Amino acid sequence: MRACLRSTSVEYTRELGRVMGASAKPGDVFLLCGGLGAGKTMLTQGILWGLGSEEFARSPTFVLVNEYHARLTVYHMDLYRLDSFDDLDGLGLDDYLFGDGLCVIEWADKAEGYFPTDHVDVSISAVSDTERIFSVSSSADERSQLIQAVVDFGRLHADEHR
Amino acid sequence: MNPEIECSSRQSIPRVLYIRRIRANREGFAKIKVELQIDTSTRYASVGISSDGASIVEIGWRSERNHSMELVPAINRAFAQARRGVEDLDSVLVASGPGGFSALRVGMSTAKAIASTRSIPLVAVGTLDLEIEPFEGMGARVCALISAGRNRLYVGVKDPADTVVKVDLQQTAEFLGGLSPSTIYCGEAAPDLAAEMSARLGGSFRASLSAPPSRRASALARLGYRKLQAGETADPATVEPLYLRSSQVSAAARRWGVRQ
Ligand SMILES: Nc1ncnc2c1ncn2[C@@H]1O[C@H](COP(=O)(O)OP(=O)(O)OP(=O)(O)O)[C@@H](O)[C@H]1O
Ligand SMILES: [Mg+2]
Repeated sequence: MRACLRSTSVEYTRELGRVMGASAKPGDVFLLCGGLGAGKTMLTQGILWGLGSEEFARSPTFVLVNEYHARLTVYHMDLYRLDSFDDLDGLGLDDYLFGDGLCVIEWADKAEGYFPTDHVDVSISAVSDTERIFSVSSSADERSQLIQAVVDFGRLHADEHR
Repeated sequence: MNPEIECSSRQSIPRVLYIRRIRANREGFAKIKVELQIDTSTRYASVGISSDGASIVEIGWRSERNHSMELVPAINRAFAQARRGVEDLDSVLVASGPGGFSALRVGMSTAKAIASTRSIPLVAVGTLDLEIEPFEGMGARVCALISAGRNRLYVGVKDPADTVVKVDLQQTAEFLGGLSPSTIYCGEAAPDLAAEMSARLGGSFRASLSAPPSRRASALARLGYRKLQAGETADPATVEPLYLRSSQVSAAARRWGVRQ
């Protein structure tokens, strides 16, 4: 199942994150892909807020995993600096990926295939300075509720703009 | 190594016992051997002190990813209670997995550090072997289960004729599809799956369903001592916890061009 949305502002992206955070279940894994400055950390900010956290998402590029405690424990990771399978495999990500928290992983495409198969894919592409196209999808039936919530969010806002 | 092990255990041993420890075993005049057990495979961790493979003290606790903070104090407590110190150790016996990635590494690195600084043997025993140990000798196939996180299980199987435990990482659904009535099921994850297994196997369901912790330091003492006597020691410089990868990870590795 797939949802496609056009974000025209940072606020919209955060709201989208909020919806995803509110629908997240223990053990969910969100894989965020998109180039530098696409909005992965912005979306993560919204996800944190959607889970009831009041924290500000800091980019975990240099620490690799930031942990936040909200309705679920959120493991915010950034694989940007990863450059070998051994590095990846030595991190012990399984503890997080198969735990009871929510994993939000920036630059997940760096480790394609490493993740649980029932993950949620989020790909972001920048079309202008302020515009982003989001595609949120999952091949797992158990994630259809979350994707549906994203679809509903998109519809609601499309109506507003009309 | 943490120097605290040395100081606090020395302080806690009265002088008299220092003298008693040098006492020889009556029969063979061989010194009674002392082993330390460390198992941090899962959130249920344990340490123990044994003598010639028989447990003297065991301490178990439930940890929430805090093994690194809890392990050394627990070892010191076990030493104090057993009235022994790190200088008395003749070997270190450690559970080698499978289990939690970080959890296992805490126990393994502490065991390696103690064994190498004291220049005593290190013995690694599979974590699923420890779950199976109490049920060995029952003449049946034993299958031990440890959770590998969401919908996944570490599965260890041992037939009466086997000398080693066959270890596998399975999806829970896949495991439940292959249940067998002549098997004894046990292990930390067995109680959680009891209802499902019982529904599928009916009256022929056989299991140990006591609440965790299901692994005992005494089992590690017994199995580890047996391996020690057989000369099956591990090299502290190279031994690693057992890490089972799921099939999709192997596929990812291939994509990176890594051969496994
Ligand atoms: N519609 C939008 N949604 C999200 N961000 C937007 C949008 N329009 C503009 N931006 C800007 O894009 C940038 C997104 O930054 P962010 O840190 O979220 O990117 P990122 O994908 O995490 O990058 P990196 O790969 O460096 O971690 C911010 O500067 C933000 O102001
Ligand atoms: Mg970022």
